[in-house]
Amino acid sequence: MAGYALEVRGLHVWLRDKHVVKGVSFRCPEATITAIMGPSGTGKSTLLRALNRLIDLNPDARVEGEVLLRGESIYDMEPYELRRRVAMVFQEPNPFPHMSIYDNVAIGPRLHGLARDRRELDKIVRWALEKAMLWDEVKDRLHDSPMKLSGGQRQRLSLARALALKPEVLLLDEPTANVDPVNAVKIEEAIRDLVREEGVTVVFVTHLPSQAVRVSEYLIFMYDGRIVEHGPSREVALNPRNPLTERFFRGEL
Amino acid sequence: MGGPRRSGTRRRILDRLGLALIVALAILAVAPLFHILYVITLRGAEAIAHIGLKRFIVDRPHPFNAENPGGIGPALLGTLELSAATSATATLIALPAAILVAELRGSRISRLTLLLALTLVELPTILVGLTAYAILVDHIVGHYNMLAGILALTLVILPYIVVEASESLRQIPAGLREAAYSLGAPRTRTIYEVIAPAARRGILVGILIGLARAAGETAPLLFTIGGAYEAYHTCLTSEGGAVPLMIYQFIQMPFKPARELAWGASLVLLLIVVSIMVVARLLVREVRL
Repeated sequence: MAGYALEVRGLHVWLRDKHVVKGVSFRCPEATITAIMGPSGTGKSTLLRALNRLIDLNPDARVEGEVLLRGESIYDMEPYELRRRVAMVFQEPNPFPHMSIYDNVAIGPRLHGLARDRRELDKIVRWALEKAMLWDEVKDRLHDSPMKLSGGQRQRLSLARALALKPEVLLLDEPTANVDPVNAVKIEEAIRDLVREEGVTVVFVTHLPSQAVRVSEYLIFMYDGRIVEHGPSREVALNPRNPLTERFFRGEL
Repeated sequence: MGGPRRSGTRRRILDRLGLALIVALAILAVAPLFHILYVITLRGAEAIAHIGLKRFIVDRPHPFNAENPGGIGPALLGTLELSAATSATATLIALPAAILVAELRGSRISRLTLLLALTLVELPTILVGLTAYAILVDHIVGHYNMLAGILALTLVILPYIVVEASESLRQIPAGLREAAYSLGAPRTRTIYEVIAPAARRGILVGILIGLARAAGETAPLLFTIGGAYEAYHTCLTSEGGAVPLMIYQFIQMPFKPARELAWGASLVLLLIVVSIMVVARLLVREVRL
């Protein structure tokens, strides 16, 4: 039995005086997709930002509890190295506007010294763009500005930028919320391939129950800072045990 | 008695009157600008045409020679020197300050720096000139010198660059910062590789505004650079000239050639400042994120 890539134990987050994440525990098996769904404002994004310690940048945030990355506490790691191993894609496509498409993907490997020379860097950039299903669309204009790309392409570029870090875990914060349906499908496909072919473990936050069920092996339903239901996706979708989950699937929450 | 129709007419008349008043006031507000442009262009062009463009730009002035008044060469060179040196030093000091203001926003030192910059903007420039005089002319060098002018002008334009640059740094969306951190970039690299380059146009606009001010300011130069227009000077610790200071001094002379030179110099100064501002405006328009 493969181990767990990510293990969260009794995680609490306060933003100023507001208790946003209230004692959350779950585990993500290696090379699986866990979807976290729930209405907006239930602490999904905040929870995600605690997993790569991005929340440390918010001086008003206070975190309690344990997060283990392959058995090792993330608080014993350098945050920079942690963020290389646990990469993230955000809701808003956010490529760096002043860098070329190539440099956007190359910045991660450059920061962490992942490539020994230019040829290796080229290889990583190409690999990441292929995995994000963007290579064919941009291979002839790698040195153009990313601002010439469409919104969906920009989001796939953000995905490629994260993948170039060769992460073990990928955090996705509603990655298709600002993207057209065609691009949303491409992104979902890219992510499923990543898990299958590269063994990346994915935590996928979404507010769409249909998407959550479609992409994931495991499903977490969060409500008001707590995990209300957690289990294999099909099981949760077909037989929700908690009435709140049922109401969420019916679109009542 | 007037029915609804008559009161409708009255309302229409009042509406027209109100509009006419606003248009008239707007014209009144911009009229001085056009008058300034008109007068300076007319009299400046007349003077330069009389002297000849090349001679006017390159030659030394002969303010008492009605046949050949000469040109503003040394003063023009002085202004270019002052502007270049001032922008360079002010930028070097202002950029770290702007980054501090924008990055540590909310902290006491950030607020204090911004407050000081805003105060410095409001400070009468003649006081800044006086300070430079007291330090560099009176104490260290012993006579008028270009360095004192550079010091004074630097202090004058420094706060403009700090305010403008910190403002454009602050407008960089938080998402870019998060993205950089999420890639494992440390804070300094996030600032120097993502935040500052993304704000580069705004920063450049701030520098250009500073440059335009440095080229046009007179008061900080009154008792710092000395006003030597007769010769091309070579050393920053020697006296020098500048176009605005030359205008100030020559226009007051009771000789026609001196005043001709002053008008011509005014047109040159106007063109320098306006072209810098046009470039700055164009840059602002191109900003997109």
